[in-house]
Amino acid sequence: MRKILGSTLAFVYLIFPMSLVLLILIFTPLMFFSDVSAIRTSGFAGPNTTLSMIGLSGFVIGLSLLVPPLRRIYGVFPWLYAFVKIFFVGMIILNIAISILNVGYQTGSDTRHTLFFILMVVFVVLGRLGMSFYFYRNPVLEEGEEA
Amino acid sequence: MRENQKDLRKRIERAKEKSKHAAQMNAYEENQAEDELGNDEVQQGNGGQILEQWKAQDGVPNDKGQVFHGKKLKGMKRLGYLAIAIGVMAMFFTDTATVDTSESAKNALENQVSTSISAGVVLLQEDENLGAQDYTITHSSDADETKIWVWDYAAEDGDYVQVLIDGTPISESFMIQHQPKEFMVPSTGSVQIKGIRDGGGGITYAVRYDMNGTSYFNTAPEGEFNTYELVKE
Repeated sequence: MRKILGSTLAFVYLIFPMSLVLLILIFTPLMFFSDVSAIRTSGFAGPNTTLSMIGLSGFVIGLSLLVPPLRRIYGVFPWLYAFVKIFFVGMIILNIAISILNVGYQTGSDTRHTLFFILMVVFVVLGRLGMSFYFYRNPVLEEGEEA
Repeated sequence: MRENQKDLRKRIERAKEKSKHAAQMNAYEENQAEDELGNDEVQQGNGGQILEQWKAQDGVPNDKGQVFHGKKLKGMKRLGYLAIAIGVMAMFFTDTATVDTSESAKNALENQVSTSISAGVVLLQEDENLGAQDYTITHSSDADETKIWVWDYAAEDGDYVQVLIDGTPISESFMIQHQPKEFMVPSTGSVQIKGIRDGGGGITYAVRYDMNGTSYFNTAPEGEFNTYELVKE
């Protein structure tokens, strides 16, 4: 009975809100370049959803990893843990990058725009390098382990 | 009778095998110093039936009957705590400006002018066009300059304005937010607020003048001005 309840809870959690968070994790990198391009072309800051995106994803992912019945999701989809780990960090980096650009574009100054664009690029490069280094030192999957 | 005995023996053998397996599992778990699992128990019920119990729910059997344990479980928990901490921090820093619904706030919205509303107060959840107004402000201040604060009293939706003195910009255009932006302006002359970009629902902004302690709630049409004529008594 307990197992059935746990599985049902995990299934419901996977449908909502976990699938929403997975979509956010997938679409953030895909939308990144178009978001940057939209801000650069318009000359105005875009909507600042960074904190709410990170907050929502953090809560949902955190609960799925900490609540034992919800952890079943990662047993059913063995690739999900590695995916969440990598894409969550990537999403945080890209969202912070967008908010850096947004801060720059809150004022209509070309010098400020260029400066913050460079800052954003540097942040993304350093963030991704740091992320690569971390996962090089601490691989998501141990040697011989399958996703 | 014989068949019953055979059946009983088979069941006992099966139970023994499963107990042996459970013992091996326990030995494995003890060897794992960092292993946080150790909660799968095997109990023998009536008639030699093996009952697997999932006790403290730390190690979770998945549908394949495998269990997250050791380093992997530890890593999952660590990432879980980290994700929650990041989530809490993000929520903490999210702008949660509350809408002022007091009587003075309602009066301010109705009159578009208020002496009791301080800079940065939010009056509306969504933008609402109150209509563009020009004002002549007569004051008795002896100072040559005065501070003004400009902020968005409705939704922070990406409205941009620019402050001009007698037609000359004193700043770049900027996005109005709930957090007021401060400027120094001459205490006589014409202060203009130009609507640069409408983020949706009209460019709603408020401006507070330090010299008379009055806030003005206004809407600037895109590309046009609201003029505040400052006159000394």
